[in-house]
Amino acid sequence: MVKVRVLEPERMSLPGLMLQGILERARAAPSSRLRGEVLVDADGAQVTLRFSDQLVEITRAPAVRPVAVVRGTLRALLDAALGRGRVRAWLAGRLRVRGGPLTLLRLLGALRV
Amino acid sequence: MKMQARAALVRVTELLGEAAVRRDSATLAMYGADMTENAPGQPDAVLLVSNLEQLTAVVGLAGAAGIALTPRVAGTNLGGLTIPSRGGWVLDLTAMNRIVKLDLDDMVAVIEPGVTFQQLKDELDRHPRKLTIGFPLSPPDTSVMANCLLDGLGNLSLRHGVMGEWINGLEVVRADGSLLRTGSWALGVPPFARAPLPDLTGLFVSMQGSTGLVSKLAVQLWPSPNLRERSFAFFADLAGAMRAIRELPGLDVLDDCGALTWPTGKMLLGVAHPRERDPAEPEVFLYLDVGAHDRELLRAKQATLRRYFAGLRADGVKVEDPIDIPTLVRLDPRLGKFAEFPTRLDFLLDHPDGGLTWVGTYGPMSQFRDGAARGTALMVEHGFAPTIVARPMKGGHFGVLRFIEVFERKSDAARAQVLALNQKLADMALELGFVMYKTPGWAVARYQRKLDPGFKRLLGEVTGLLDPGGMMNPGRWGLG
Repeated sequence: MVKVRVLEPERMSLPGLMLQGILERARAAPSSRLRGEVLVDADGAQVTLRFSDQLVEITRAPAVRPVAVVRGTLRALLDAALGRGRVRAWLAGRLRVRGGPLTLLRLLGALRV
Repeated sequence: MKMQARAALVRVTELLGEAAVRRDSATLAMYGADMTENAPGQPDAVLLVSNLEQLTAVVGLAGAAGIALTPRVAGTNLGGLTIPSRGGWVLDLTAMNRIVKLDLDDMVAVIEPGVTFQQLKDELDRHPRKLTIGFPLSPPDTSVMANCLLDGLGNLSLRHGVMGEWINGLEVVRADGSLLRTGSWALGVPPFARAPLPDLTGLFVSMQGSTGLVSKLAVQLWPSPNLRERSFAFFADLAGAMRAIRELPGLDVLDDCGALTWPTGKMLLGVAHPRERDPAEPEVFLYLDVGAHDRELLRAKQATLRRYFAGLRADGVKVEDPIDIPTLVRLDPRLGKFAEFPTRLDFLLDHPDGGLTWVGTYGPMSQFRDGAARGTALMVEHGFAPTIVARPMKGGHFGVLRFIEVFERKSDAARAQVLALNQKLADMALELGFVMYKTPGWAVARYQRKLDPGFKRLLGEVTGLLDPGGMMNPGRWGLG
């Protein structure tokens, strides 16, 4: 069971809090090979996910050298978490991802409820 | 305690039984206070009243001995209205909880003071004809009657206005212990409406118990649609959301609609003290409730809403289409608090700091944007997260604008701070045309200067007539 921790919850943005819920309910626990920082940008509200052994930390501190970047509208990110219209959102430019293919595959699995 | 009061207490103990007369310090302290910033009072006794016969006898005894009476059920109103400001007896009416009559054909329920929203819902759900009542955001165990008599609102108020308007008739225990009935009920016919007799019901609405104690309420019920979709839309800023709640009633597709600012959403997601907003995150969540009797109508209403939201975006408002609550619940079950009513907003009621208060106002929709913006600035200036709820009512003729604060109830400094903020919020709101409902004593004191002299005079005369001894929840509206 992976623990998800929000750092400074009183400062955390709504996308960060929703990511907490998604990570805690994800169909699959994050792969142990998913390590490092991931930058998530929802309509400009940025949060950093720090994956380490059995722990994901969510913070508003900027990602230093992110292994992946996910950008999109909040709606597109939530739809993606639900497994809805990821490709369509990507084609329409409402969802953009960057990173190694394996990292992205592991990341999308960890963010799918 | 005066001799007369002592004798009355002996007599009332004989009448109710010792177990129903509480005088221990813990009980007196509990009934003397609430979760707001209002100063606690000190009742002389708490009486657990179970039926109408007891109630009339208690009122008669109190009247003869000049003992103040404060009625109470859940005690969760945020106006400090059940705090006994002049001692006396607190009447706990929780046990008077009979649903006396449920007339499904004429869509009216006759209920006693202790009937709760959950209780009435459970009873209505047992019947094949689907009727409902509007549910406030207060807990399920609060009194339907209290919310009606205090002109509260519910989730059908966008369509049907304040719940005080849903009252068809009342049975009231007057200060001398006598009974009267209002509305069509006064003629001995069913309480189908307040019209066409002279509307004496209004003498007891929003009077906070200062003109009589209501023992039965005839309240309107409404058809419950077979299909319902509740959803949230996320607005980037307050201005866009306030525009939407002003315009949406005109579409005539919604049963309810309410804007919640970002701290509410974060508290819902488990943050006890939200302090900061990322400028890029949504500022407002707009709750939308669409009901329909068949799928075709539901689809048509949803299509109208989608077109409306597309129009907003075309005008530059940053908002996406609403997301239905079951979908949001898949992402986080805590977002299900608005899925069904009545609901318990535990993130406010069970807040670790223990204090909860508000400036709850009704006012003109045209001033919502300014009111919300100025309220936000005042709350931030005083160190509070700007927790604001705004809902259109009565088809958009007016609406409710609330500024909510959680605070450390045991701290005198925090209470003083919250009172200072509330006074400023109430003054600002009044300047824009917003009037507090379930009006607390401190706000009444501020309103005294502005009240029309003729209104004040008549109010004094009416209450003097109905409560000559000044014993009915004294201190309310500056009376007694």
